[in-house]
Amino acid sequence: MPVALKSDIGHYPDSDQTYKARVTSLRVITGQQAPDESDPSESPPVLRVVPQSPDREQAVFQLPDKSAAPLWLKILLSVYQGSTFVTGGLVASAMLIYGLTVGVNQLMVQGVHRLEGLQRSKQQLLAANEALKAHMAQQAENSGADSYIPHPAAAIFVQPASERLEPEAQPFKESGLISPQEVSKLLLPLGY
Amino acid sequence: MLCIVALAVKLSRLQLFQAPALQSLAQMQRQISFAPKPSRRPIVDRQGNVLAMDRIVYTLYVHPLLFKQSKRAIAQQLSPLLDQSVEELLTQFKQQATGIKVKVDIPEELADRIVQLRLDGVDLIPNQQRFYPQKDLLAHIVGYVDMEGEGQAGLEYGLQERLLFPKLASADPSSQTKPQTTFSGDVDETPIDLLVDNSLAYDNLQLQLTLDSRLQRVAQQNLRQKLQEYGAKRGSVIVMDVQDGALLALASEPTFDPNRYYEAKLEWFKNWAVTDLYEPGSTFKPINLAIALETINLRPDEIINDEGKIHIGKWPIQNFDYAAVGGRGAITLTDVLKYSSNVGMVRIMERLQPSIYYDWLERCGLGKPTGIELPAEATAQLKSRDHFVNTRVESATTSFGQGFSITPIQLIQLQAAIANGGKLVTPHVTKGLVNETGVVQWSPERPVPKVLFSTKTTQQVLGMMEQVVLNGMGKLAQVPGYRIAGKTGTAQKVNINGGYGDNRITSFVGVVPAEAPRYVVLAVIDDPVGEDAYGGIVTAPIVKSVIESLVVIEGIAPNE
Repeated sequence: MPVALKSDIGHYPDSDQTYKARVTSLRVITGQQAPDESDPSESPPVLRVVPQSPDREQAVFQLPDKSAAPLWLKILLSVYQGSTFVTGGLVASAMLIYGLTVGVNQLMVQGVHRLEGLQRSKQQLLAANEALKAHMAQQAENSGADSYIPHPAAAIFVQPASERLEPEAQPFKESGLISPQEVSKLLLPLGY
Repeated sequence: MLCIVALAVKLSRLQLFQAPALQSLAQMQRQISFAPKPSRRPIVDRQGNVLAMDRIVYTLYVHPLLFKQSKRAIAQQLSPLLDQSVEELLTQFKQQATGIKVKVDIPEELADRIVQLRLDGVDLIPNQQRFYPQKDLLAHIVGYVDMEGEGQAGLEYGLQERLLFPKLASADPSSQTKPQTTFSGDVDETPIDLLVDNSLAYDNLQLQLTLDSRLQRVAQQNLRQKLQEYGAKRGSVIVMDVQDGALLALASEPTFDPNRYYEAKLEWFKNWAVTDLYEPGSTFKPINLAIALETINLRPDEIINDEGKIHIGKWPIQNFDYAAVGGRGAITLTDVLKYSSNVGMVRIMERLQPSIYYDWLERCGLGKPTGIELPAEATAQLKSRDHFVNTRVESATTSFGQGFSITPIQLIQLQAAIANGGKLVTPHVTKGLVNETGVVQWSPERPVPKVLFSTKTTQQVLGMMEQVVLNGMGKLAQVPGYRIAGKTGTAQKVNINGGYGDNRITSFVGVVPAEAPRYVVLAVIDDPVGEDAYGGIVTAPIVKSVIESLVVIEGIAPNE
């Protein structure tokens, strides 16, 4: 039984009439073109393309070219792909910003609590230190010992040395001084 | 369809029935508790020793209703920490079911130990407290802060605006009375909003004073000792830098512990060296001499006739030692100061027209405050100009420091003018607000010192005052190796009838070193009891002791 293959009919650009005309140039025969069609189970069906006539070979069937899609379709596809990426990016950014908002907050709160803890410790230590100093002074006062009271008889007054001008730098050879290299040699460990 | 109905039912339950409970739960989760923050800057002395600071203390509340253990068991655990007996605590626990205040002012380390007990029904509420580690040492200068956080005395009151951390402009002024301790945000608020939106602008500034705690302790100790020895009512010791008026010590007795201000008597709160007037007596004689030297032609070796006792109108005036010595006759100006001759001073000052004398007293600042930062400063009381000019005895009594009254702080200001070459510097106790590296960010504005006396005059007076310590009545103020200039003062006090009685107020002023004065020390003892209760005996030793410590602390080497 001849069956016409209607492949890619949706993409075929021509009208139905042209299509039918071209299809007629091919005959697809299922199985042997045996007259005995009453018993098809005896032999398996075979597809064969049989040219109808040589003059009809001029009507070349051309398969649709997928790569040559129309421009509007290409634009739509690009928009579709682009918007997918943008949407994905936006979702990711939103998640990230939300995460940062919460995370930074938490970090700030933790940081502030830590700072407050340190400030309280500092305050506590300072108060304890000052209280201790005052207590020691009070104890010394109560003991009746005058040793803690500043007294000129128990002090040494050192007169500050007069300010000396820096000597001008002189070349080592002229000044007769030894060079830093020589000094480092002299300062080498001597076995102790 | 069934699912939609089920969801609607669940939503209705959540929104209509469980919403309040869930809302409060969410709010509790969002609630952040902040420890109360300091509201005032610390106060430190010139070495950086802390004199006042904010610290967190806790109040212990118990709620017996929430106890998971027996009351006795809780009391037994708290007893050693609170230093209270178990029975005492049990008595307190029986007062009511919840909210019993057991102890206040619990320090942080003790609070931590109580928390570690993990007792249900025991609550510690933190709050900021002003802490004064030096206790009563500088109470009159620093002052105190009451339970409401308001400064009530001293610098806590006088410089309250500088001590309080400034409020941020964006903060709501109505919510600034107390630091916020908890925050329960609205739905739209986040914790970070709270952290950024703080009410006070905290900084590391602290108020630095010019006072020296070590010297203050020495002054206080000597003062107390003498007050006890002579059964005196009150006293004051002041040490001032003569060049700029900075006070290194300002000890006043009686004093109080600002940490326990509620236990002090009301009259203890005032710094009487600043707030009260007294008749200075002979310690004012150097000022009078300087006025005389500036206005009339006098030489230190000028001869004055000291009769010992004179009458101005109906009023007798005599020297304190007239009964023992009688009249000294012809003496020099230096001798007048050396022997603290009242009659001699009257003879000198009567050469001056009373109106000019009065002008000079006003020029010295009598009747005006000195400008010290401490609150409630009293101003000297002079008689009215007409009365002074027309009543001869007024200028006579003023010449030896009676008949008018002055604060000890103003007297030392005038003595500093004698010591520094004639400049009237402003006495002060604050250096300013300094940052952590010691750089001054703010300091009080002070007027340019007014020139009162010429250098020649002050040098002449200082020379006479040095004789007082070397050969006169101030010998007890001598410090070996140092040249001290000084003057004693023993003034009679006015009694309740308006006349002079037997009560005295003794004082001594010393300048060190006399050859190049740097410091002036004044000691005043009010109402000492005893036959020998004179300035040269009661107060000169205090000045000596303070000078001994002062020269070591300030590194003033002996010159002999």
